[in-house]
Amino acid sequence: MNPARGVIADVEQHDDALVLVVVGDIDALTAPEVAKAVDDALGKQPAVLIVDLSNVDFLASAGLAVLVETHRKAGDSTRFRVVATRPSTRRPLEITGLTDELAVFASRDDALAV
Amino acid sequence: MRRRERRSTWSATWLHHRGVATVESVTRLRRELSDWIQTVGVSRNLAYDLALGCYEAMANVVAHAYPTGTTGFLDLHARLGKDDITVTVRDHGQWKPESGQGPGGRGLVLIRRLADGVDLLRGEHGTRVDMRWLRH
Repeated sequence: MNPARGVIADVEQHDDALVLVVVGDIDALTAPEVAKAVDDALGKQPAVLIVDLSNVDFLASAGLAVLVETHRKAGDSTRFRVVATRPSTRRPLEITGLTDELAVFASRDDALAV
Repeated sequence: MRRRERRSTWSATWLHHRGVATVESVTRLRRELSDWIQTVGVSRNLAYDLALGCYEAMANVVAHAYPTGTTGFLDLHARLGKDDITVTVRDHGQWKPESGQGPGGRGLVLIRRLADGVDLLRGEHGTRVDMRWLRH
């Protein structure tokens, strides 16, 4: 498939936080790629893991499941945060109640500032 | 051009597709549906809600309608009315029983909250999801 319409995940280090920047659409086709990138990041045992969805245009339940699973895997050892700025990501998180379950921030700066 | 490569057929007021339900095909189909709905001229929010709701219905077909290791057909029919847009997603298999935590749980929550009206009809020969969005 055309990678431009898939998903890319890049990792950035900010002090004790790892930021996974996801770009593209997260649906059942691309969610496994995101899950793998998140697992790799968690494997580095960062104090904080931030999944930045600022550049995600479509977030389906398969992507929500990855976030919930990441939250579970992170446990007490890694603080897990999500950045969701666009309606395309906030809306599915809000209507499934995950904004209450996960630590969701409106900007990356906010997520790094905590 | 690109239009001819697609397996869906559509006009200004409807889109129809029948094909094998795979994780790849429903991603393609959701993009076709998004392209179609954008030509209709609805709000961005409505276009997004419709694309996500319909995608979840189609993803459920891929994940739950047919036994593991097999594939089956998916029918998508979208129709533009004067006041609403209706979309039907139909399969010819059998979904596993509905449960909040089980397969399709979060997807079904999304469908129910995103659409203005939803009917889920489970039968012996398949499942049909009728979704309706008002063109407000």
